[in-house]
Amino acid sequence: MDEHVKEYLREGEAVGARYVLGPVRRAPSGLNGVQLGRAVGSSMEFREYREYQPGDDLRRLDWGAYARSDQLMVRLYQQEVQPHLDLVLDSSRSMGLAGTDKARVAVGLASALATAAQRAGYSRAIWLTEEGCTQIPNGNQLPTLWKSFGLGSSVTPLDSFVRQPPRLRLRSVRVFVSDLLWKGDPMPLLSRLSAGAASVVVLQVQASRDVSPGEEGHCQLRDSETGEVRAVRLDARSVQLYREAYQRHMAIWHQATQKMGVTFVPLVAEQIVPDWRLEALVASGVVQLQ
Amino acid sequence: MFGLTWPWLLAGGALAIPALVAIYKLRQRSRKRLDVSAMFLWEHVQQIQSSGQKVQQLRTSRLFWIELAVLCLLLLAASGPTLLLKRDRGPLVVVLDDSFSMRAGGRDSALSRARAFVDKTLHEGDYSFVRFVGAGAVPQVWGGLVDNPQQAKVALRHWRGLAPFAALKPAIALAHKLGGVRGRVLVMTDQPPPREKSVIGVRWHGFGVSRPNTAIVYASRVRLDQKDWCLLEVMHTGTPRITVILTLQIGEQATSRQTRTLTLRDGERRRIRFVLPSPAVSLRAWLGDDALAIDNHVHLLPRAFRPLRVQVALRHAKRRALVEQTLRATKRVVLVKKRADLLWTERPSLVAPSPQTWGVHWLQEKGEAAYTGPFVLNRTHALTHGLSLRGVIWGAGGGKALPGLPIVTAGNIPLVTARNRGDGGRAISLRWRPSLSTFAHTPGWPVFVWNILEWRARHLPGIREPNVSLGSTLKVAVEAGRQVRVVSPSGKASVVSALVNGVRLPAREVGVYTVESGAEKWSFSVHALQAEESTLTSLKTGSWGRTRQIDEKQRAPTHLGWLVLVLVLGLLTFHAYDVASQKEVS
Repeated sequence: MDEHVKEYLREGEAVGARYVLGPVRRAPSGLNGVQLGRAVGSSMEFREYREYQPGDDLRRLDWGAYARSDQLMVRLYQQEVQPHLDLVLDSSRSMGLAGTDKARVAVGLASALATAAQRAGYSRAIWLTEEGCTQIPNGNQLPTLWKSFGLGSSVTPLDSFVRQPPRLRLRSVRVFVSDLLWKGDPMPLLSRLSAGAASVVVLQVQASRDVSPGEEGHCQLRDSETGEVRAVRLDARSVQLYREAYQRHMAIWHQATQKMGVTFVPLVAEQIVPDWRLEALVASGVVQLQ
Repeated sequence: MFGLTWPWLLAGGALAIPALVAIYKLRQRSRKRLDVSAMFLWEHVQQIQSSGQKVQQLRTSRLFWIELAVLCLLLLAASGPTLLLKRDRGPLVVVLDDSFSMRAGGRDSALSRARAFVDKTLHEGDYSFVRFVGAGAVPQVWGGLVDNPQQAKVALRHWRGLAPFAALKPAIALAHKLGGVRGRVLVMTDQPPPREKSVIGVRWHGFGVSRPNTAIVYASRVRLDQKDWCLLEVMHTGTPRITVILTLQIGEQATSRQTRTLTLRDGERRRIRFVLPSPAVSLRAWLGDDALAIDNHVHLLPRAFRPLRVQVALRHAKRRALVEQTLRATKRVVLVKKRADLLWTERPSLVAPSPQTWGVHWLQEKGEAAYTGPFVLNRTHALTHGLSLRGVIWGAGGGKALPGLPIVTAGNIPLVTARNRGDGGRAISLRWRPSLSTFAHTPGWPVFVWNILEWRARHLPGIREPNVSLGSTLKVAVEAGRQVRVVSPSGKASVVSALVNGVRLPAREVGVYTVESGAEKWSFSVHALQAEESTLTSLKTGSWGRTRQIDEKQRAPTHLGWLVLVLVLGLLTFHAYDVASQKEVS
């Protein structure tokens, strides 16, 4: 897997070179950044005056204006922010589902988004949901320079968040790449992602088999994460039952993301791979073509 | 310590385990395997659509282990698992031939050589216990559990080679019974086993040597026609021809000796008959020394003959005359007026004058009845020996019941009964009216009277047959409760108390026994008269057969096969329950 990850990162980096990370609903935050923020800040670009209020920095008093108007006026400057991307990649085993392109697309997307964020001037932190959330070394550099990793965790992202939550930067743009296929309430994880975030994007990367399994007949299903094996007969009815269960699960995530104001973008890996056109991401404003 | 009786079976049967695994493997392979991201999305599918499949998967896995365990346990049970609990050397049961042929050879007899071998075996062996079975006319256990030389010595005192023959087959059966499945059985004898089957499970040691022998194999004296006839039979085996001298001594005087020279061929039996000059003298006969001494000598004692004292106290003259005439015809009675051994009377009050006087109560009843049968005779009683009432008309009185055991009945009417009087004496009740009967004119009447006399005479004090064979049992008639002193030919004296039927003495030694009871004294002579035992040509030295090999460090095995099978049954029960429950779910 590690060898493939390098390849996927390279592929994603090439894809990301065509995009920049798009604007988000709330302005990113950060002192001494490279973008002008919406708030008053400490950049050199003058914005306006206002009357002095107790607690204002005395260094900001415009003595010339005081001389002209006999009022203590404070010079306000445009806030200068450094935008930041916290990208959390689900590294559970189901993301590397054998016989699918889930791993390729998930890693490639993470690489592409990181590249697009770099092109947009974002600093970056890439997190993996392993036993706890761990940061990839060199994550702030080009993806091809990231230290290699694998998708072999047996812990669900939620458990990983609970055990060791990522140190997400305040007002950062947060992107969570996962297949979202674990049993449980999504709200705890979304709450943690959304806390103090400028914006949150959930990219669901799923295999076409996850969405709609084929009628394979008698077969043994093996849980890629737990190894549990069950013999079933995949016929039309059982596939229909699976789809219904899948849709119920997705409906829960849709409702949760809407409730939390999270951008939810479902993707099917097999549909991405042929041309790597991130139309769904562009449509949702996560990235922009440049 | 755990052990297996047939470990190779376990190794061979273990091939079935890979077969079972292969079967399951093939079943597994027959299904397509598909990885999924999340199994929980398939829960409904399995519960509704393929719940059986789900259980089947579990069942398959569980059943595999159950079947594997059953297979392993069955292999284990088939290989005979045993638990060796403690060290055990196993018992030893020695069958000792006690027939008198074991004495052949004098100091180099089979008996002495077998004794030495037994001593050596007991000294060298290391057995949990030893038992001895004497193979005489009847197998006997000599001593209890023997676990030290002193006890063995005491038990082996019984082994003297004085039995008329050796019943080896029942003795070996008894030895197997005593030794159990783990016991070793040794046979000490002087002859080879009769058949190969005789040595299955036993170690047969023969110590005999084929020797020529001349023996007196039959000796008898009988009173016939007022003469005392004597018959001797001499047999020779082992050499083509031999000349022996038979010495006869009539009476106790050595001067009355006479000799007879006999030339005998191999296997020939020569009979010598002669008349003794007096019924009161004894006869000694002997041959010269040879390989077996015990069969070279006989001592025929005179039969102590005492006429029976009979008192006929019948009032009816015709009856009295009939009885007295019949009694005189027997020539074995003397008619007396008192102290009779047997009393004939019509009066019940006279029936039991003393314990020594047995009574014949001839009933006088009113009424008349004649019976032509069917007559039922109690053939187990001495009074009916040789008696026939066929064609007899039996006249009797009109009575119905009689005391005592019915001996002769006409239908359900008792005609003759016998009873114990309670004082040691006995009485016969006779319902018979000669005037209405033909019985007195038939052979049945003297037979009946003779039987009455014989019946009484048999219980007279003393010994009726003074010359008996070795191993037989002699009856000495004495009053119940009296002390009887017996001195064997070897001089060993013992005192026994008489029971109701007197004393029964086993003839264990060859020679003359003396029996004393109060002032009375009797003798009887025991002879070793057994042609088969006197034939020494078939004796042989050697060993045959083999017993179970015993490792002295062997431990007592406790078989665990049953326990393993119980476990198998438990597993199979669980297996069946599992299968049934899965069917129910599906």
